[in-house]
Amino acid sequence: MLAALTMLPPQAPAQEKATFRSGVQTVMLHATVRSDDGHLVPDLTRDDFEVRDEGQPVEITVFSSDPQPITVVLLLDMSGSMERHFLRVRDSTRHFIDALQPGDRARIGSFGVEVALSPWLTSDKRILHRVVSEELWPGGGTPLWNSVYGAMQSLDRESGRRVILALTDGIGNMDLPGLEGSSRQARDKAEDDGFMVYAIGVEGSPLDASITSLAERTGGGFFKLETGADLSRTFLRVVEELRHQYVIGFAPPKADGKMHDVDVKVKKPRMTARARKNYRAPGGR
Amino acid sequence: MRAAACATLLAIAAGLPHAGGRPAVPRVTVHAWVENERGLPASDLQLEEFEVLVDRAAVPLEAVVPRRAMSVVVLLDTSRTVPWSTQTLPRHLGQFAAALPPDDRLMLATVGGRSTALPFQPAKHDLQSAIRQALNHEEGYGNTPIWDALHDAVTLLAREPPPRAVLLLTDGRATGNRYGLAESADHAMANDVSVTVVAKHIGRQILQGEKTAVLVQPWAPLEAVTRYTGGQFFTYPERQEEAAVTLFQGAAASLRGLHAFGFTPVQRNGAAHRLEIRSKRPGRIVHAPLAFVAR
Repeated sequence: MLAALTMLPPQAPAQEKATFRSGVQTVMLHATVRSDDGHLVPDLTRDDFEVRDEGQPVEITVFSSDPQPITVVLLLDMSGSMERHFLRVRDSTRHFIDALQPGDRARIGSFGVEVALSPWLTSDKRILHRVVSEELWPGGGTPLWNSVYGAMQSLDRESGRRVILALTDGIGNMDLPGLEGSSRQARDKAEDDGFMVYAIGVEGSPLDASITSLAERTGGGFFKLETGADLSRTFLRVVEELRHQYVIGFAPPKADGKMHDVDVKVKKPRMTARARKNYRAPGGR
Repeated sequence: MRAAACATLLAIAAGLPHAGGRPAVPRVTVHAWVENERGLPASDLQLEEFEVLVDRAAVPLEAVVPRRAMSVVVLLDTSRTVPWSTQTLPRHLGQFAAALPPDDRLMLATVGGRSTALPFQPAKHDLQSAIRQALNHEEGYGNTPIWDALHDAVTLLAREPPPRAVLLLTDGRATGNRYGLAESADHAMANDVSVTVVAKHIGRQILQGEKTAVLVQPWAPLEAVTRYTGGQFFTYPERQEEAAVTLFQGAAASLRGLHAFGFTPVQRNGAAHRLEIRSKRPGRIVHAPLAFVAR
């Protein structure tokens, strides 16, 4: 499974796109670059990046700055403490859906009384809006990790960049009987299988430290909304960020089946790259 | 010649009047029950007491006959958010089944927890233990695809001769559906399946800031589906034994009282058309689907 999801082979530079074929295994990273003033930097070249595996520089064999289609599960916290934000969450989710482009695909999920994941992973906005209208029910606890884990499982058969975007106001505080997924299981799965996790914290309790850490380690991000902040804008910021990530690939120096630290840097000043911080090397599993 | 023979067979199958040589076959049959002034199903229905409006225009009613043996899917939401009593609900559903005519057939299916779908059985068959078993489980915190389950139930019923009905017991919190509410309701309407709902009544108002509130009523779409398909909507009376018994007796009585209404629409375009069937007799209410497909 790992090989199929995270180790993609390179192809000739002239054909570099987000899809690759045959040959040597390649570790794929998706990097967000922002300038010091917070703006996305979309026009860098391969030579502007440096990648290190366990501290050692590696050659970038795959590179693309083309806008990337989005495959995302949007998880909406419907727990009791989020009830007062229900309309705001629903309306912002509609803006999120409207911002998707034809190649993007989204699945709507929610957690509260139960963990619900739509069977539809689709670019059909009519269906996504239908799910938002008919299938969001406020109430219950916060089975955050059951839902994150379930969302990742729902993307197991998808290839390429797979994103989990969770909107919540606090801390995963319960596991529902019969459902898989502790915070540790979710973290292991995200890192092993190369999921990218984003979290948006609605004002209230602080975001679960486990999910902010997971977001950082997987190359995603987290946003904490201040009181009255525009949630739609935050959703759109995530969409823009996902669309303008760089695709960077390299051949893993060791096929030892172990987790490797990986570090992506921009050589230009006043810019910061964000990408996953580790990957599991092929072999040994 | 072949068309005439088919038409005669259709008329016989639908329990409608037909003449040997030259059949006058209504093209459309829908099933409806008529509530009398005492709130009970009326049985003394006369052709001339009714008027049928298709897309608001009157069409002649050609037949009104008591229904034949029917098939019913009891669709039970066993998700953990719907805490049915494992003692009383099986008993109530047993009473419902016992109140149907002996030729009717029942099937139990579940949604939201462990998947159960028993084959059709005579209505008198004891379903109580199967219902108890379906309710005794620990899972059920995942999706509750009520609309998909309804769609599947209608598809199963469409293979059975009419009349057909679904008795859906749920709180209405539908999640994880491939089909939407409207698609499933249309599927039921197009196959002359009435949907009767017994709903756990969850309803509350949630403040959204100082001036706005949102009303959460998961049962509201269910009520719309019952009206659209000619079924009935009931709120399950928690801890009121007598009221619950009355409810299920009422549900069975309305199904017993179904009649086949036959008419021929002007257009046969395969499209859905608005339908209204009225009784001219004072105090009588016709519970008919609000649309049909003109095949």
